[in-house]
Amino acid sequence: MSGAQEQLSFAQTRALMRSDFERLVGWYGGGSLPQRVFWYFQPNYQALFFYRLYRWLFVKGWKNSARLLFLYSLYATGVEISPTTSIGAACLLEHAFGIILCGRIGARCSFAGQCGTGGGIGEGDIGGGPGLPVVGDDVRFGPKALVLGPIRIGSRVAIGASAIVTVEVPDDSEVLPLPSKIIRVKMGRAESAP
Amino acid sequence: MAAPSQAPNWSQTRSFIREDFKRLCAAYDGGTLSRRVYWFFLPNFQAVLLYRVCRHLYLRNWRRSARLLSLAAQRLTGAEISPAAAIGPGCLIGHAFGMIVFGSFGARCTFLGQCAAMGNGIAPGYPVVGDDVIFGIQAMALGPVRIGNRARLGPAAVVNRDVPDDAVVLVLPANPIRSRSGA
Repeated sequence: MSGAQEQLSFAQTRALMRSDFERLVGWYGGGSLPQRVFWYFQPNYQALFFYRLYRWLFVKGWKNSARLLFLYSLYATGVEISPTTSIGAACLLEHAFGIILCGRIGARCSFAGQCGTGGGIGEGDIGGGPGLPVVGDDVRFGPKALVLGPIRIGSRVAIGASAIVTVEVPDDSEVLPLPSKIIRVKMGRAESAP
Repeated sequence: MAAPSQAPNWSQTRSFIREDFKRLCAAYDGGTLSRRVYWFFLPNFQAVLLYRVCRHLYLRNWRRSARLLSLAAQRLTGAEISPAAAIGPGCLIGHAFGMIVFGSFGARCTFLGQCAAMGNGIAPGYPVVGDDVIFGIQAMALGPVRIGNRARLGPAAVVNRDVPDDAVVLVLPANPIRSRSGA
């Protein structure tokens, strides 16, 4: 299921908001009403709530109102989801810190903090906007994962921590994180292994 | 390197701010007045603007005010640009949230987003960066390193050694991709 089509009704927007919230509550393991109210006001849900609103405004053609709401959301939550981004249903932001999303993202994706999807590498538009990626459904972005450029990420992909993805990734695969080197520690001083 | 360290007068700080804004508008492709007003209020420009004001206060020895204002700026925009950092004119920040900037920078430096130029916890000192340097997203320059002019740091590059002029710093090898069984 891809993101917003050319038309996005308010009923659809509300359904998307509800799917995002249900996904968040499910991820937290369900909860009582006071807990759900608390989660509703956390920045990881608020960012998506505002995104759904200004995306609806943007698709409706009220672009300046969309941009103003985007600006407010940027200051309030610190999450930058461009109004030109389209995100499918049931998106999950695990931690709202440092997330920058541009392009087109499928359903049921999840972002552990500090992720980015965006451009700056290469030209060309494959459906997500100029130089921006297209991400499939059920993709999990590990912490600090970056997906840059006009590339296509398949569905059911797991992107490892701090991975920098600039090439196509097929369905049902994983992008492995790079291993770290363990260095020797001597008397409180660290020496790097060669 | 064009970053001054002696007390500036306000017109010099204003010219730096004007250079920053001109670079921002050029990066966003010109625009009508209403678009430029919108860009003025984006947190990436506000971070640089507030830094310029803090720096001005800091160099005039109103350090407490400078620190208070930079604290407010950090809370507001999410970018921690120390007033002790010296940044030349025409600084451009792509995404303000998560920036950490300490050190000395030349003119026309570009920070794409979530960059860090800070200490490395091992040796004292901060980076010294030349003109026209581009920090890619999540790029980091740590410790007392010198980065030459026109260097370009790719995404998530970690610099802990000197970088010569016109160099490109990338993270290699690329992350391996393998197929997995089942969801």
